[in-house]
Amino acid sequence: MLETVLIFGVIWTSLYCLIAMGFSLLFGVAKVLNLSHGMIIMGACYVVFLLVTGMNWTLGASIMGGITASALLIVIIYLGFIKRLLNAPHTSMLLLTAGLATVIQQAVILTVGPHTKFVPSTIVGSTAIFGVVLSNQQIISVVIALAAIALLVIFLQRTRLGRAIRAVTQDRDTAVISGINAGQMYLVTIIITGILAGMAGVLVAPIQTVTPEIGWEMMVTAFTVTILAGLGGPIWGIVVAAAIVAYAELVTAFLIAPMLKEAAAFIIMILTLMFRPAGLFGKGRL
Amino acid sequence: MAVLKKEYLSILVVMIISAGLGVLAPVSNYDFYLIGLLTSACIWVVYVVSWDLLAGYTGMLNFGQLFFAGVAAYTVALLELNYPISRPLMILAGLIAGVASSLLIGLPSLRVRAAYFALVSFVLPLVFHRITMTFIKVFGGDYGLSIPRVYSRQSLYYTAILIMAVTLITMRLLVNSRVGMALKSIREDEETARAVGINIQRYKLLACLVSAFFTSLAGICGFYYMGHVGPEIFGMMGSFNVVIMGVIGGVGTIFGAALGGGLLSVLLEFMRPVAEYRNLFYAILLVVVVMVASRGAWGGVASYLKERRESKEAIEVK
Repeated sequence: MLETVLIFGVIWTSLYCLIAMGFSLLFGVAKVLNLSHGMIIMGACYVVFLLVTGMNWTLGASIMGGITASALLIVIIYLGFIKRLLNAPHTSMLLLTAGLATVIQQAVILTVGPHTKFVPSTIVGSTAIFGVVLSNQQIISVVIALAAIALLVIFLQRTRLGRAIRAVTQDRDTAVISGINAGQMYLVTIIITGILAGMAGVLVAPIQTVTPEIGWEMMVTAFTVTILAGLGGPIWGIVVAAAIVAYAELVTAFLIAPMLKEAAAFIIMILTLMFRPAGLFGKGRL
Repeated sequence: MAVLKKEYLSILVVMIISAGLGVLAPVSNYDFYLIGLLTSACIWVVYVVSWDLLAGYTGMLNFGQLFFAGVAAYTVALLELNYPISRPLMILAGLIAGVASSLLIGLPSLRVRAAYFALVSFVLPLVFHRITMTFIKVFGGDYGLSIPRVYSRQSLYYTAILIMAVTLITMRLLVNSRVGMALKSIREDEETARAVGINIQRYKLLACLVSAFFTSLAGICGFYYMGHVGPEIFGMMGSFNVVIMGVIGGVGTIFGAALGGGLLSVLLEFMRPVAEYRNLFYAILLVVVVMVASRGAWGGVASYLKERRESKEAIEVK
């Protein structure tokens, strides 16, 4: 029981990191709260489902397909909609992205259907870790997720482009004066966000059942982790926050009821906003 | 009472429309379908107008307006089924629960920027949805809670009209009073509002409580009309419809929201044959309105009238 919670906690922590990372990154860089983020992840889940079951693609190919699809989708959403409202009041942006989220969700319901889908594991076999049996697919998902987060950290810390993105996050005006093209950084961030969302989708799809509703559930995760971690903090802040949320949800699901994991997330959100509005690692008040 | 003087025309209009709706019942020979349609339209108007007080006047975008109504309706339903005390007391308890539930969204989001209010309001109904689905013995799970009819449809129709009229008049008076000025200044610029000595937290909380009060009232009325409340009231789409109606009608005018709520709830009914495309259609409409006409239908009409008046005045000056 304890081992199960501990090990599944690692799996969900790494997936929650991926789910929240893109949302949090875009919020930090462009100050855009993208409520359609969860639905883009959901869309990637469905792309993988269609590729694996409908066209018999292998896992590797369908992962690439899902990531490409979600990156394309978010770039279209950014260029077509979000970019035009960057200077509008935040309520317009929230309304717009919530509307887009619903459009994506309804489009999926109308084309694929509202029912639960199972994405078959393309990697067979299982391995026991400390007596807890995990499918090899789950283990590989964790490895891929951790590798993606490590790559992102290296990109943001070590490359010129990554440093420019961090500069825009910290102080847009000063960054622009220093010769950084903020618009370009936004676009790069959007593409990274899309890739992260796509990875989250393709990795979650075989582990969880897929319904059009999971887009909203992903949003709850993304909000909670982002609020708990706070803005402008280090990337590992998101990892810590994702771990806290993942373990709190798992313990609730195990001890009380699986359906109540959102309640655990909500309590974390409320407590953070009441007692530490800037988040655990955030700089400045929000 | 300068507000009353300024608002006498809108009060008059509200009263005439309400009286017209009231007369419609006997004229239509108490047509079952028509009365049902108009009752739900009145209830939607109350929801959307209450939403507008938060979103349009205080900048608090509420993605879970029906949450208040859901808490109130479930409270009344639980009392009806388990502890049948006297009915006014049950309704009072429902109202108190609905208003108190707004503190769950209001209190944690007061200290942070308004964007966080939207996020919290987004998550809270989902949590209650899960709770109703987890404790099936208490909340009835998917089926919700049903009670036999206690009030006649006609009396509930008149009650809904009355609630709508009272809500509209109260809201108009409120937003044009000093309180309304304070709320608008918070929406425009929190820092400046704070600097001129406005107690931001108190006003935000007040707006939350008032909005929740009227939403709960309408929710209880709707519960008695349907004889049923189910977990879908905590679902995304119901509250999202409120947001869409408000935005399409026009945010920050009360009457725009009322117009959006009235027209779109009737349209919602007429789109029943193509029900599966309804949500997609509304979501696309929302995106289009936000992109091209952020002031909504009422805002468009208002600026058109203003332009016409100004051009007329210009001609007269010539």
